[in-house]
Amino acid sequence: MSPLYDTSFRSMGSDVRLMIGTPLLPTLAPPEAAAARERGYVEDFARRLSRFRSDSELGALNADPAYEVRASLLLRTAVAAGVWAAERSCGLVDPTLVDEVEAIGYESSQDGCTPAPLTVALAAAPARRPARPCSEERWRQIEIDHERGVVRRPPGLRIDTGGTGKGLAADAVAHRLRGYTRFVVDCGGDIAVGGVGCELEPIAIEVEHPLTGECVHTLRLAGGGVATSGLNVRIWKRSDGTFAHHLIDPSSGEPVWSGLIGATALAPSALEAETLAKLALLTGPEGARRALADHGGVVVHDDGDVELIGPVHADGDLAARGLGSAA
Amino acid sequence: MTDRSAGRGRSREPLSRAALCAIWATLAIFLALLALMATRVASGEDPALRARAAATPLPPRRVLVRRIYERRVIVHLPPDAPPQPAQASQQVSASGGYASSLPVTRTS
Repeated sequence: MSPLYDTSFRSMGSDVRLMIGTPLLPTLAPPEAAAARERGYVEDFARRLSRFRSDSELGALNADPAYEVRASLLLRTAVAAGVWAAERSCGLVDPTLVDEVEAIGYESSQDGCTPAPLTVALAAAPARRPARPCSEERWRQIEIDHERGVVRRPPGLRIDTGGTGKGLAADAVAHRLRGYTRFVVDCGGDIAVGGVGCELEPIAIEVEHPLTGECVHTLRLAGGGVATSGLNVRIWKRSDGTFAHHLIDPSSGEPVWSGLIGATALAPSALEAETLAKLALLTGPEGARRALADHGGVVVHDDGDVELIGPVHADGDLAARGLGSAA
Repeated sequence: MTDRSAGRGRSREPLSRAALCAIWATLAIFLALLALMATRVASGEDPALRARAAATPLPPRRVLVRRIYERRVIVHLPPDAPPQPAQASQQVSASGGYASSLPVTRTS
């Protein structure tokens, strides 16, 4: 198996890693050139869809007082992905919680900031309970019209595509790399895998523990997506001494403390995996077992215990069986 | 001319009794073996499939529950030290190369 060209860079407030095999057709660019091209795509994606930049397309949409706003294909797709995730999660992964997220202190990018200690935050957190959807279901008021190239929503209803952006970006880049033997697109831990080479020899992906940083399990992917959501990175102390993080309970507008600190989901796409990982984390241990039952996943409880769910087998270290050599 | 017509004449000669017996015996053995193998395959005893069939049943699913204790690293910074960057950003290398480590899914 030929080696994968591997490059990493910083974008979307996260580490992005591209691993690309050899082209299937001689007309395709070599992996080094493809990686440079896709890096440009990811950086453009991030710039146009950032909630934290007033000059982004998303920022312009949120600031526009009109009911109907012209939107590029990328913006329409990102908004549609957010609405799809809300539908898929019965309203729990809600793209309209911008006011709530800002109210708890997440008004600007936290890239480069040191997160608050999770164990201290857990000790001070309120009683654990699963999140519930917001009864208003504001996300149902969003309409995407691809024929006319517009997005419609009540003026003032702001949209955040950040909850699904990395998964969508990983899927988009994976689609653009479909002419290569193998590829891994890792957008901040939301990963898309594909190529005929992966079907023949699946890629091993390690799952990191949110407290220790250790590998708690190695997944084997022949294609599709895997994503992780957790509380350990975007977490901060508020001025009143309480702790907050970026995963919001839509029913209360407050950070959710569900009994889980990390969830990893497998799915046919990175977008769906990201949605399922967030859904699992928001709904706590019982909800996670339901959310991850079909495709499988790994959750980490508040006390650090690791639980494998669904079609994920604790049958040893895959890297030790030679899969690691594929990378 | 003479040789060619003589050759044609030989090819039209009826087969000898011994040759016929050999043909019929071979055919009979072939059909018998074919019937035997068809019977075995129909009853699920195909030796070529036996190894795969034995490997098909998955082991009962086990749920692994591991307790992992947190490791704390306490770093004392001087009062005027700049804030530390996030842990994740320290692990990134901007340069490209060929993959030497596995991809990792983590919180970002």
